[in-house]
Amino acid sequence: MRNREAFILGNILILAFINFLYLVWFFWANSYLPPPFIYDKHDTYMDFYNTMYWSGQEGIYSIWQSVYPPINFLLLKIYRYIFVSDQISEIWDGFAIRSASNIIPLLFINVTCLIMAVAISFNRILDRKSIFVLLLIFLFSPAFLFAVERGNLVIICLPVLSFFIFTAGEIRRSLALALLINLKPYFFIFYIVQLVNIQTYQKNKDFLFLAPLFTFIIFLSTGLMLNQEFYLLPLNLLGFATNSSLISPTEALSFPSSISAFSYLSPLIVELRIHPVFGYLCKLMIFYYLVKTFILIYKKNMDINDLAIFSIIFLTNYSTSTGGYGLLYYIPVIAILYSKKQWILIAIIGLCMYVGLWDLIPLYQYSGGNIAVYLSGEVVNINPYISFGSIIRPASNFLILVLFFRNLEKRYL
Amino acid sequence: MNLKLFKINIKEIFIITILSLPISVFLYFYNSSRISYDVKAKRGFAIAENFCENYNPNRVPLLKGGDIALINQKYRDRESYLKEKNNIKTNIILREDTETYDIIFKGVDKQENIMKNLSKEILKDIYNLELNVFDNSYASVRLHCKTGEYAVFKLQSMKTIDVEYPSTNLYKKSKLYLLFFLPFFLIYAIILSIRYIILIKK
Repeated sequence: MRNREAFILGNILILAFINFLYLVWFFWANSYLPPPFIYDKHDTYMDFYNTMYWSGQEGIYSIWQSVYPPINFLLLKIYRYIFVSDQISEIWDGFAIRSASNIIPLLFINVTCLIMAVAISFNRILDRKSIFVLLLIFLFSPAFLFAVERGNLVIICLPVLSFFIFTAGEIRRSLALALLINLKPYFFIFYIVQLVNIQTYQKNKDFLFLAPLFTFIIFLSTGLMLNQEFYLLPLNLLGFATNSSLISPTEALSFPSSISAFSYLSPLIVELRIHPVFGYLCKLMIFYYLVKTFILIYKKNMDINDLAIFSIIFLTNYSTSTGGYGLLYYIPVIAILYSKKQWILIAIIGLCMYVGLWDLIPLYQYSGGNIAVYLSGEVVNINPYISFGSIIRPASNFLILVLFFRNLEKRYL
Repeated sequence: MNLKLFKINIKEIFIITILSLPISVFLYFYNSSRISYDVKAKRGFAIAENFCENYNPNRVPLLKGGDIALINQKYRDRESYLKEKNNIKTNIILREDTETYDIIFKGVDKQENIMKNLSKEILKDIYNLELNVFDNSYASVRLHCKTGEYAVFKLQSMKTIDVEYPSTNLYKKSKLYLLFFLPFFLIYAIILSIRYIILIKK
């Protein structure tokens, strides 16, 4: 490990560790986790347990209107069978299942997925010591801790994403993308981006043919195994994408990755009278740079790594539906940028998105109340606030979009 | 793109049909017999009618979510026995918005009678529990007024909502036909991908 890089990496690790110690101290002193963790402290791990409850019920796609493809429920059924089946009844709800289950297997799976993602992304470009330091930085990062606290299945996608980006061979890439799309449908953007890059059709033709075919095969086979009305999934996805009232302003602003979340500032911060046009302006700016990049991709023969980076930037900037834990998708991006020596972009990602100290700075306090906190088992008076981290993370993500576009312009025009 | 890749001859159609038919038939007949048996009942209340002519009418629900959870627990323990024999899924929900107890069974059409009998048992349990709660907590509450002593609360017991056809098929015919044909398309897609991979390797 070179001295300068070791120095920078070491300092980022120290900052990340300080933030982690602060979180531990805050929890010990107050019995709840501070922002950016979501206000509803009773809901810890419920993304996982609610979905697990429904994996044993009828009506996943008709009653619950799930947007998770069938493979997620099959994986949860396997998890139930191995780790929890003796302890729970199918009639219990998600909260009851959580009370009866041990969280350790899930935590172990989360950490294992992170280790695999980091190893696959960095094993050819960094030595083991650096990889270990990076792993600790990601482990202490607010994005990972937030995803663990929510119990979101996004973490399972990380090793598959890294494998997709760094594997050679069109068949393996196609299989990896098919699996990704079946875990989280928004990964379809990777395919669209490659489709738009028409100059590389001849080079990519095998991938362009096999990826949707494999996606269809996995979707159909897992759907038939699940034996629920999985063909309602596309309708549910459309409903999810067009329904902006699914999340509250405080949820949207607790850990956003996109500046489109700033449209929620207006209904939340009533004292400042933020005009709604501010939210539309933010969305317009995002669309402007995304469209410009798409036009460039259409015209030029682009490197496959650039397309992958843009796909991740698109996912995390386009809207709030990916969730703040989508910033974890930058793990393979950092590896690509490192090999291209794009230090400024790495610095922005590392310091703004993966160091959690920005959340120590409160910007706006909103009304709290007494909440039953699952992690401490106590009823506590919560004093919630929007932190500086909730502003700097999406702002820096937008900056990444702008700088990356400029970088592409410089290299391809 | 060579369109010959997508063409299938009679022999291949026959092979795909043979491979997909067992899955199709299983899916069709398994799902065509699946039913949902729904029973609803209006929840019971303790109603305060007389507070010495200065009363605010008051309705207190007799059972809460925790009480229903106890009944669920009883049938959960029975369910594991039932599962071995019959594999019926039972769910008892207290809906605050409609003020009803919803008892939902999912199983196959042959189990309809078992579900009917089970629903009667569950309703009886709920009724007895409501009566118990009323007798213990509300029946003995009395007030003295000028005209004499009165019981404050009266029992409005739960009432089953009669439904002509409580049993419905889980899948409509159109969805059953869709499930029937999907395995065919799945096998076709697998054959297509194998063909393409062989082409790449050549």
